Amino acid sequence: METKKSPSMSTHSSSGEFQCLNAARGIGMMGSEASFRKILSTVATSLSADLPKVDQALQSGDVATANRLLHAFKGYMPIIASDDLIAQVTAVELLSKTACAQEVQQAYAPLAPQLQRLLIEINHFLA
Amino acid sequence: MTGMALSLARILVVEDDPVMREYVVNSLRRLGIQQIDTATDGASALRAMISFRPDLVLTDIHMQPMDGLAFVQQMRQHSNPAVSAMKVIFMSADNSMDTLGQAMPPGTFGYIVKPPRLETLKARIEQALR
Repeated sequence: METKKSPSMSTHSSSGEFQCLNAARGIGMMGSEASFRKILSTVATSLSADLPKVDQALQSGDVATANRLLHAFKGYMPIIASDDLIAQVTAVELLSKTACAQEVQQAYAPLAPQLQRLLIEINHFLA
Repeated sequence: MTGMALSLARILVVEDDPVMREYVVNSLRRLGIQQIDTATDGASALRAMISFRPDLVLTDIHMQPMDGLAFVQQMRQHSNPAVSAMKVIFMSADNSMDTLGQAMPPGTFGYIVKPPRLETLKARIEQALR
C-alpha cells in the first residue's frame, strides 16, 4: 500500500489523532491531498445517508439491502480507513451474504459506532 | 505496449457507488486517460455506449436496477456490432471470481478487485487495449 505523505498533512496523519481514518493511505491512493479531500467529501455525504439505512434495513429484517450497503462500504474502505476498520467491515459484509438479520445485527452492533467515528474523523479532517 | 496509447483511450466507467466512481475516474486521470464517461447502472451505460463510443468499459457487477452481468449480456446482443463486441473489464469488491459464476463472459478482459491499485488498473487496461 502506498503511504505517500505530504508536508501539509502532518497534523492529520499521526496515528494518535485518527483511529478509523487513514489519511496517509488515502492520499497515496488518490495521488494528492486535494483529490483525497474531494473523495472524503463524497464519502461523508454517502456515509451520512447510508448509515441510517443500514440500521433501518437490519431492524426491518431486510438483509439484502444491508448487504448492498455494506458491500459498497467494503469497496471503498481500503481507500480511507484503518486496517482494523477494513477488517471489521469485510467480516460483517461477508456475514450479511448468508446470515439472518438478527445475526447480522449483532455483528454490526460494534461496527456501527466505528463507522460513526470514521464520519466524525472525516469531518474533522475536512474542517 | 503495442496497442492504443492510454492518453487516446476512451473509457466508460459503470459504477453505482459515487465514492468508487470518483476513485476509478481519479485513477484513470492519473494514468493519463482524459476521455472518460461515467454511468451509474446498466441501462444508462447502454445509452452511453452509443453516445460516447468507448474503447473499453470498466463495469461494477453489483448495481441496481440492472447489474453488470445483465448489462454485458444485453450489450453482447446489441444490433450495433461496435457495441456488441465491446471490451469489458469487471470490477467487484469481492476478492474472488465467485461473483461471476463459473465462467467469465465472452469478451471480458479480466476482473479487478475494488479499489484497484493504480498499477493493476494500468496493466489490465493496457492488456485490453492491445
